[in-house]
Amino acid sequence: MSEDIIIAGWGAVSPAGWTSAELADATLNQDSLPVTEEGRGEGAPMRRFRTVPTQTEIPTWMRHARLRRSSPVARYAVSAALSALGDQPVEKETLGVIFVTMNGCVGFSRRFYSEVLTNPAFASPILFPETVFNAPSSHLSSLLGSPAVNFTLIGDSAQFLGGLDLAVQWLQEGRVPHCLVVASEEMDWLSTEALGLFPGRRIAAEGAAAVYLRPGNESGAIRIEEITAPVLMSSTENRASAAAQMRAALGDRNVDSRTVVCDSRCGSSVWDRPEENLWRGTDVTVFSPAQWLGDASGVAAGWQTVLGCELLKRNQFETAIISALGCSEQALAAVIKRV
Amino acid sequence: MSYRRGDVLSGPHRVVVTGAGIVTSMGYGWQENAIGFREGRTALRPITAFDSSRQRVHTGGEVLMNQPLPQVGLTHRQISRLHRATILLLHAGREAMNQAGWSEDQMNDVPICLGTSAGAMSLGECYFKQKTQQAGTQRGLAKWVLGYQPQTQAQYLAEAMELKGPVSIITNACASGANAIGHGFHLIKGGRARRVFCGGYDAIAEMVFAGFDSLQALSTTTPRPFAADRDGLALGEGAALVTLERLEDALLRGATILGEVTGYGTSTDLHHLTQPHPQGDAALRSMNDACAEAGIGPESVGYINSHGTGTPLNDIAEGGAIRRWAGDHAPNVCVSSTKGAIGHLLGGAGAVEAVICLMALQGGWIPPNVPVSVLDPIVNFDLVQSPRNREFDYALTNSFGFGGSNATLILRRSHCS
Repeated sequence: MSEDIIIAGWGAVSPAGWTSAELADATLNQDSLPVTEEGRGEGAPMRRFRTVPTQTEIPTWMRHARLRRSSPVARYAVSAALSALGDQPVEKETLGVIFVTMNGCVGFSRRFYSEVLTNPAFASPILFPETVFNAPSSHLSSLLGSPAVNFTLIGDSAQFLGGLDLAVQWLQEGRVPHCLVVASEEMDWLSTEALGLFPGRRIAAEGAAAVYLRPGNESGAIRIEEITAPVLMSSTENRASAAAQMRAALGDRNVDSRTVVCDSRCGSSVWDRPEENLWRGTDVTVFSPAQWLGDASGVAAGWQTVLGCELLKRNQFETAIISALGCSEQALAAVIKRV
Repeated sequence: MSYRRGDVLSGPHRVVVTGAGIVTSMGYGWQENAIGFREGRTALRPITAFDSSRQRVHTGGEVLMNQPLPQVGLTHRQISRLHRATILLLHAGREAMNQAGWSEDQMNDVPICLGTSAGAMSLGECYFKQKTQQAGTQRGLAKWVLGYQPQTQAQYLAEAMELKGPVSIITNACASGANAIGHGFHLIKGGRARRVFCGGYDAIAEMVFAGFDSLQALSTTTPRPFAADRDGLALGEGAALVTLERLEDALLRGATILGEVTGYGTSTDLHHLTQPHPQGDAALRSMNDACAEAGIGPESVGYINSHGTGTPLNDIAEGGAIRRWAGDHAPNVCVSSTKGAIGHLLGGAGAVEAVICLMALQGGWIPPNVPVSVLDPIVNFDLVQSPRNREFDYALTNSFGFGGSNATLILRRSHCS
């Protein structure tokens, strides 16, 4: 297949709202979105987090039977995915789905395991299937009516770009004619307290990001130029070293004043240090959506990608570099360009 | 992997298996497992991985953790933190890598594709218990949180095997292991990678065990796939990993070829989150896609390692799909499920069953199903219920999971070594 691969649509759910425009505006305007500080008592640590604002109206897609008792992860994923598809004429029966998450459906898992510990005989058969990592993507395929290939990928906060790479592979192979890549996470005290175990006093967040990919080369489209090979972290390869290798892999291609970098920094000096100087001495403009939205684990690189798409669509830049330094596993980057 | 616009990929390439490692409740390694499956042994035993006294079911395909850790490049500190899921991975990984005999420069950028359903779930359980019983205690929790995540298990595996390539972790429920091998197959076939290290694993955990029981999917007697009176599955644990590479590379370095991957099909069953389409529509699609890629029809397939969980709904759907797929040829199609012997390994199942198919192809035998007194009426194929020798060229293995994740692999006997 010689055609280019484009991002033909995108969507997001974040503490800024249920659209990608709100995500971009919050980042560009450096909005101080409200942070909740809360503790469970009994000596539990305080949690700092940003949640997705409640919708004023129940969306029509919530009428789908599968979504009735689904997790917030699934609902955010569906909302972002439908935004990415938009009004485009899409043959949904052939749509590939790649779902990315790090924590998955924590709320239902916590509730179910709590019931198991109380009395396994009364642990709910309704909850258990929703705890499985691929439940949200299954709901999404069901809602869209697509029996085509559907993968759930687990990884760290950079994994969304791994999903993007897989989608490109499927499109190149002709395995599917078009594909959604969706990431989603939900807020729960269990995962938020876990975030507090690591350095940086990061603010937890929830939400989703989605991009819709297909072959194409029409003018004005957002084309995928490059996705770098992931640099795997290990006991001898820390985040700083992985970040430096990722930066080296990108080289100086596209690094000028027409380029925006959407990076992973979240506003914590300790945590952000490896990425701080990656673009020093260049003319690029750098935005860090997590700094304003919070740390949404597996969604992080998805929000960065959506921000890049929004900025290209708004003609503010010609090229966007998504620089994804994961929290524990990998570093990789994607380059997208307005055609 | 990586992508750069305009890059032209080589391919298609033929993809062969040059190393395989396996750990199940049947035993450690190819040899022990091959003997056990060939003879039709069962290896279900009392659960000790967690306190099952309050569960309805107390047995499963638990691996006896009685073997020393193989030689791996991990520090003492890392070894002290290994979860049983990772230990299973390391055993299977070491065996596969030793068999493959890849040189250091060949291993540099090898991608790892792993399938799992629950990973090291019991570490998450420990974290939850600590958080609910002693909310203020923080000490030691970070290692549970990190260790619980599947990418950490993959990182341990990578480091232990001295691999530095990218990691993909596929969690398509019980189809994960087959998907991981299928994904690896396509990476090489399509020219995106030269070699891939892939497979699946899962370890028994209380939450998952209770979850399957909550769905009344666990057998309270013994699992009897395709029996008319079947009452559910047994859960198991284990791992299987394979080294995949281009045929021409394997031939060039004189590697022993264990088999060839020739087809991979997937589909998503939209019927229900946990129940398959009653007539097996999605299963049929997955089997057809895999056969189309392999360029073969039912008459070429000498053996089907079925998903065959032993639950009423799975076996009827899969049985229906096999009937429709095979058509008039159905009575000649040899089918068995190995889950009656070792339980359902969830994310590990597809990979373990692929390796069992490689053993059967190589050895010229078919692993028998557990004996069944009365067959489900859906069975019009040859359900192999006792040890049988048979030379054949193609094996098909099905893996179907929650969420409607379906995967089928086609493996071919190697005629070159």
